[in-house]
Parts: sequence; structure tokens; C-alpha cells
Amino acid sequence: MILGLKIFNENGNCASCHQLAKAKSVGDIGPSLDDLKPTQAQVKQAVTNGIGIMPAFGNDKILTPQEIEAVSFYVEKVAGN
Amino acid sequence: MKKIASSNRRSFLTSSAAIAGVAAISSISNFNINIAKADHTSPTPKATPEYIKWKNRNALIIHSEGTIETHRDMIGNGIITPIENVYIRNNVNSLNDQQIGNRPDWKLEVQGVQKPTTFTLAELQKMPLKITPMVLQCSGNGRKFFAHGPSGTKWDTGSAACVIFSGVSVKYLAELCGGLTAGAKFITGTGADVPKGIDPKEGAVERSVPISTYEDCLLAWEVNGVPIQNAHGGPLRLVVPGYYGINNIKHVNKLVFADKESDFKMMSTRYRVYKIGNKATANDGTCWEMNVKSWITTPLTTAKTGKVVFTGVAFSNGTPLKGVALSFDEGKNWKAAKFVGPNLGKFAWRQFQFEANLEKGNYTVASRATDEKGSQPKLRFENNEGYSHNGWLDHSVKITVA
Repeated sequence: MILGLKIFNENGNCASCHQLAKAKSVGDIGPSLDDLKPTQAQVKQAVTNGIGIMPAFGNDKILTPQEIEAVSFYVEKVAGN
Repeated sequence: MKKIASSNRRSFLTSSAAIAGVAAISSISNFNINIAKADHTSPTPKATPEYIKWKNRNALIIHSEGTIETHRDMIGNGIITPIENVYIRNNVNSLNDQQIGNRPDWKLEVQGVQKPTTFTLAELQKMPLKITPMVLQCSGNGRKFFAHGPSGTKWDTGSAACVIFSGVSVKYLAELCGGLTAGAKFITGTGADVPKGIDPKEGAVERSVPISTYEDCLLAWEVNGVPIQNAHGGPLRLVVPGYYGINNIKHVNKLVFADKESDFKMMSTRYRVYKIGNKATANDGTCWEMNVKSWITTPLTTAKTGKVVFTGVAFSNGTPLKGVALSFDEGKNWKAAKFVGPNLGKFAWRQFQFEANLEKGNYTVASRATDEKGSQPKLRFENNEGYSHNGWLDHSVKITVA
């Protein structure tokens, strides 16, 4: 979970675009994750392949598969809480 | 069924090996709507987002702040969809009044013409009008039926509407600028709504369409007779009739006639149609022309024995529609429906009706539209992103007659 939060705020910089209250992020470029409450699988897919203007963090090797695993686990657990 | 044109003219819609699931349709009428159940995924009511407070909440399923669809039975029976009921699909946040500034001063830069010129909205509005009734449909409409669970909003039928755009013809504007430069093969529109701090190449909504759309395209400032709302791309939107929604650039401030497609991400790798599990490339077909499609809008779940009137909509990419047929036995037999109401032109949808005499029982009712180039297929065309679904089986309705 701590690793997931770190990736969310640093390596992945998810916080710059997405709102996630538990991570204290208020980004408003992409959809609010608290609102969307995605499953781990959905996060994994979006982070790996990108969607819309969201970069393909996996395919473009910005994040490793392990990092994606951690951040997607984290987002599913805390989104909407 | 080569309806999405591929940028390299290669047809990818050649096979269809889907085992299509049948839709579980939920019906919510105008009168007994339960807001708490109005969202497919949320256990709690979602309020209408602030930027579209003027929308008709009861007509809408709110997937997220920027992805909102119309209930299947809320497109109305007037051919033109009331704008309060029209879906929203925004890749990026809509510009607000402050960002837009004084609307008559909105600028559009035109390049790839003999005399590149920048026009203000006020200048455009003094030019001859072009008025086009047309279907606006998200490329991913029907994505919820794809069994592999593609990323993106799980649209049912509701990211589609029929609206009337008013503006000036793109051709007129190009001619005013001395005509096209030699070798112009594409029309590229760019939206001003790129988020702050994002590289435009990555984040701008910029799309190219073939120059063959030249005579149909318009730069619109009105939708259904009112100024285009910010959420729908006001004050100026590039409109490409017959093409998927993404090509109709909101907040357009640049129009280029070019010899190549845009290399921005929204064109090069997004909105591409490719095999499940693959990665998108610029050689895959892009979401351009819509394919022939129809769906029933009423009834959706139940009916009384006796005469039951089925109503729905049908459209194409502008290829003339020949008709719509209904089947009550998963496609073994088809019966012709009738178009009702006026034909608002080749880019608008037609409403159809069919009167059936039904006894007690459960029915699966499918509609299949046919245009001059072919009919809707039974199954969806499987693709990674879940685009361009026009299979009639998934879009059929299960009705209990009692």
C-alpha cells in the first residue's frame, strides 16, 4: 500500500491528473478515481495501455509491471473511501 | 461492411468471430425513474456535474464527470434529440466561459490554403449558413457488450444523438482563403481544450479526416438552434457528418488542410481499431465513418398482450438507408418496419415503427438496418478498444409480454 501511494504520487505522477482523496490528490485533468472507483484490473489496463489522453505507462515503459501491480492494488483499495 | 475507413484503405472489418452476449436491458421511463438506480455502476445517486447543470438528469446515466449517456428510451420521438438529453463524452475538461472569453472574438486559424487566414466567430457568423441534421455518436457506443472488458466507458446505446448543427461550410471558408493548397488529402481540426502543462501532441484533441468530407464539413456555432454549449464544444465546433463523435472537434481554433494525417496521439494511436491484445499503431483503422446501425427504444422490458408497437432509430454514415426489419426469433425471420416522420437528410437518423400482435411469453426482439451498401451484422466485430459495435444480436431487447 505504501509503495502504491508512492508510485501514485511520484513515479507514476497519477496525482497530477486524478483526484484521490486518500492520496490527497486533487488533479482534475482525468476523471476522479473516488468517483470512478475502478477495479484493480481496470486500473491495470488503463495504466498499461493508456486511454484517451492518458499515457501508456506500461507499454511506454514509464512504470514496471510490478509498479503497475502495486499502484492498481492501491487505487482499488482506497478509491472512494 | 467496410464502414470504418482505414487510413491506409485497408479493411480490417473482414472477420467476425464473436460469441456475442445478449444485452441485459434496464428500462427506466421518464416517470418512475429511480435516481439511485440510474447509474449502471454506482450504488448511490450521482448529481449532475456542475458544468452541465442544465442537463436533464432523469434522461442520463452518469458514468463519470466527463462520460454521461442518454437512457435508451430517452432520446425522444421527435427525431432530433433534446439537447438537455444529449450525451457527453469529453476526453479533456470543457473550456469554461472564462477560458473562452468574449465569444464573438473566438479565433479560428485556417492553414493549408492559398491565403492562410484567421477568422473571428463574429466574422464567420456573417457568412452563408450551412445547416446539417446528423447523428453524433461516440466511437465506443455499445462497448458494454464486449466480453473482453475493454478500457473505457461501458456505453449501452446512449452515446448517440441526432442533432442539427448550424454554421458555415468548410468548403466555403477554404475558397474564401483562395482554395486548397496542392496535395491536400486531409482536414485536420485542433481543439483549444488541451489541459495546462500537457504537451499538446500528447493531450490535444486533434484529428484528421479525409478530404473527401470537404463538402459535408462545417464549422458550427449552433446546435438545435441555440449557441453550442461549452460542454458540447462551443463556441465553435468542427462538424464532420457521418463520422464518429471524436472527429467533431470541440472548441476548434485551428483548421489545416494537410497532405498527411496528424501525428498527435489522439490521431496516431488513439481511436484505432485493432485485434484484442495487440498494441495500437497508426496503420490500424481509425474511427472515421460510422457503420449502419439501429436499435429499439421502446418497449424495452415488458408489454401487454395484443398489439405492441416497437419504436427505434436507424442510421448510417450517410449511405442512403433502405429499411429496417425486426426479428422475434433471433434472426430466423425478419419483418419490415416502417419509417415514421420526415427524412431530415442522409446524415440524420430515421425513426422506425413496427406493430406486432404478441401473445403471452418472452421474446427477444432484434432490429436490423440496411443501407445501400449492406446490413448490420449479427455479431459485433471484436476489437481491443471496443469500438464501432453495430451487431444486431447484442442490441436486441428481451421483452416479457403478459
